[in-house]
Amino acid sequence: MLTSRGVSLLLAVIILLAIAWNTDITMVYVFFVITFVMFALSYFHMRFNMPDITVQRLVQDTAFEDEMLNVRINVQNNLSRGIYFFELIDCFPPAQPDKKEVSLFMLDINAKEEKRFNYTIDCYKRGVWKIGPIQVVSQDALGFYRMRRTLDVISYIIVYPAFFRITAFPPLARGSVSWMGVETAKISGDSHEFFGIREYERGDAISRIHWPSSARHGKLIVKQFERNSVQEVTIVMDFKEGNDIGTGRETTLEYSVKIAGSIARFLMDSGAFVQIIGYTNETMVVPFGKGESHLYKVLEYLAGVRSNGAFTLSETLEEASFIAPYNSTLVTIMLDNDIDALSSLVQFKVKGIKLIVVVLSTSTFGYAEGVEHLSTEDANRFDEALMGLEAYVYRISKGDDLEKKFEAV
Amino acid sequence: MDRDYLYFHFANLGLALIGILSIQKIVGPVIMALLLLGCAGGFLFSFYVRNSRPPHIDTFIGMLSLASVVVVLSRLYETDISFESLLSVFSAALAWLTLFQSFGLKAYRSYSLIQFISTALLISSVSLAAEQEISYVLYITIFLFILIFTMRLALVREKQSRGSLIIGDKDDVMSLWNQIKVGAIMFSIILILSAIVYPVVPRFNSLSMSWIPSTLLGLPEKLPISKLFNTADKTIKEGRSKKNQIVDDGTKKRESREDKIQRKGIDERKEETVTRFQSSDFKSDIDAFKIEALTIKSDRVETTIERQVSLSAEIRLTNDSVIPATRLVDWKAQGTAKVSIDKDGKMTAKEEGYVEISATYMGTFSNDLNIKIIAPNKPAKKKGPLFYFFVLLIWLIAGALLAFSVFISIRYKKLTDMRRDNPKEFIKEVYDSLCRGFRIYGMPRPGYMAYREFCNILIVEGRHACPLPVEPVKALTEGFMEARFSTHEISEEHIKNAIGLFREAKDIILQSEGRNLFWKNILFRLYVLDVTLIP
Repeated sequence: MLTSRGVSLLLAVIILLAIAWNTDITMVYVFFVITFVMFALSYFHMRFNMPDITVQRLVQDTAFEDEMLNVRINVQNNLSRGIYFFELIDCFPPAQPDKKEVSLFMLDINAKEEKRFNYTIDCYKRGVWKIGPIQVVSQDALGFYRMRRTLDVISYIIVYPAFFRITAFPPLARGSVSWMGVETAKISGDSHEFFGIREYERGDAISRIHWPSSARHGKLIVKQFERNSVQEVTIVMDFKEGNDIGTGRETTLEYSVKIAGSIARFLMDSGAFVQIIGYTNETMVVPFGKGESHLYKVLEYLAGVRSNGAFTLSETLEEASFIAPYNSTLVTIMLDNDIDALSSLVQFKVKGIKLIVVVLSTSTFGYAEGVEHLSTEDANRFDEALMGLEAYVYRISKGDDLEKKFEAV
Repeated sequence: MDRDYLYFHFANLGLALIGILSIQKIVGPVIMALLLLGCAGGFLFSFYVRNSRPPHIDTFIGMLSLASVVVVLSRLYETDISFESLLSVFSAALAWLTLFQSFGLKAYRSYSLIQFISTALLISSVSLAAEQEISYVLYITIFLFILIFTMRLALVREKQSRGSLIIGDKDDVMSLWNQIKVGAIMFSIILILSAIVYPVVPRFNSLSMSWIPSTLLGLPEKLPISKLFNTADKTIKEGRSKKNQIVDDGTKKRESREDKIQRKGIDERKEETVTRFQSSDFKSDIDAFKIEALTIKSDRVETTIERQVSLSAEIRLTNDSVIPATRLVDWKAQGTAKVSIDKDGKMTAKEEGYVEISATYMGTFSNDLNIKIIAPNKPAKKKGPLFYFFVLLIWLIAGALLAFSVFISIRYKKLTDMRRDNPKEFIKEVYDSLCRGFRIYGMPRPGYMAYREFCNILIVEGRHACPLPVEPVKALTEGFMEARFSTHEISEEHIKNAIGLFREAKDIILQSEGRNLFWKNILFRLYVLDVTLIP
């Protein structure tokens, strides 16, 4: 409660009293009394200046990494007197590590007055965050005492990972879906194009019968639609606990998330269907989809993921092998020491699934407990195995310009 | 330019200068001038180089500071180790530190150091009583005011430097005038409370053991620390006076130059007389050659006329044995006061002054005792009821003035807010205030009376009471009615117009002269003071 300045004053009070008693000089007593009164008065002033305020925080629900966010604060003084010199400390976890506590020093607020102001802050790290609480720090006018009170003003925000621009990407495998004989679904788009008519065969849906042509030909005629080709991409990520190497935003997980998000956006913009598979302790799979709403689903998933899963990438790939369709593409983001995962990728090749592998160089991200770096011999074996997969490979190190890496194929 | 920094920087210079000034008796005039000018120069230098500090300046300042401290503290080698001398050397070292540190001011910490040194200098000089009390009152007053000023600035600067966002009108709240105003209020409150608290501060010699419960009576005598507490010298001053009275080499103590000057100062008009008192007994078995020292003591060093002081004498022999010799020694009393000493060593004072008591026994001289004799305290004259009545009256007037000041401040604040937030209400208040003022002249506005009707009555009846400002009152009434009943937007222009009319009306009323108008005018001024204060 006492600040360092207050402690100094208290020491001065004690020293002055000791000197006064020893010298019996009137002026020293006077000096002592003045400092003592300052000390006592400051305490009462601090109690008196303790604000009774209602604070409201208005902030948008979502933002992107590195976006400057505008936070609006409304402070209502409930007292019938003005309050001076108090501090509001807002806890903002998405900010940079040294700026997570935003200090707002209020010079004054009049009786029953409501003050509105904004502060801007950089959303430094992706995640689903709880903003708050707000601490109110009141002090006396000279700063000898300080008192803290916590106000439960809580808001939530989803900070999506930042993207980088991808200008080129390896060609995807092209699968096809015949709409013939399939129940009509209310799906709009180019892949639902009318192809022609033919004679009715057993098993065709009654709704497909084209009655005017049937009347003209004197037999049942059905409509036939164009066979539809689709591009389906499965992105598999490694969320095994302990496989996040590095600190702050320069970790393998953050790189994986950024790369996965950017690839997903690029592919969805190109018309591909994208699904994401990765096992954290909560979220697992974002099923196939495309369009803006699906992009936001992917972003929400990526915003919330942490390296806290129990499954290794190899186990995740095993699970993915059941979900990934034939003639689709599989994008795997993996560490360069995970030989087991490479073995699991072989089965996809057999299924005719095109492989694109993004390999993160673990040694450039630093060292983590329980994570072993490969010896030169093992590294060579890893490279050979990767070549054997005939996969398209991106090698990423810490600090790489990702836009440049995805600039050309 | 950062205005706050400018104020903060030079306010700290004020603190440093007061600190140095307070020890002028310790360092001498030439050094004092050097320190003051150097310190001011140092503050100017550090202000001008705040953004582009010369390289290695901190190292240079650190070395100079260290050298000065070492040089000054080396004086301790040839100085007596006493409270005063230590404090003097300590103060001198701090003063030189202030000088060198003033050249290196930049970070917040360096200002805290200057503040700490200045406070320490002031405490040192007060503890040494190096100045007259009136000087200290001045020093402490200015120091306290500047300290409050700097601390408030420091609080905001500290927050700013830590990256806090300052909310509020900083230009207004932290303006120099506002700072001085708030500082003055705080300063006044501290001084008033200090004046109230001061009489109840326990002084060491007024401390008593009487608060100890009866169940614990006797216990303090048994506890070593408590015994020490009872028997120890109460103050350094007392200890010093006792020390002067005892010499341990058995020879007569020589009077120092300082003692002579002090004594001369006390009573130079009276002539010194010497009186001797012969002993009543003699012990023939004491060998004069075996006497090592003759020591005399008294039970007090200050007494009043007709009161007795017990003197005692002891002879210490070479074999370390001690013989009581109060009845054996010849007493000598030298001083401006007349005293008598009986055979049992009881000294009775006859008149005011001082005496120096000494004793001899077989050619051995004792130490000297200085005893001051003062007139007995006369009981304070009881004050009559009239005195208390006047004191009460003064307090009542002071209280009423204070209450009125508070009331006016609140009204002023309310009107200022109203002017900003609710101009219609503000104009209504201005009109109401003027109407209240008319009551003094016997023209109140009843609640049922319409505003224009009241205006007409004022014009008609007012001629008899006092000359009334017809045009301003009319215009103000119209302006008020517009604000009160119309839905027009009331602008700042309307407000200015209303205040102008109000002032015009007030001035015309106050210019009028007549019987019984003097007190009415004073009351009128007080009634409309809240609106008058609005700029």
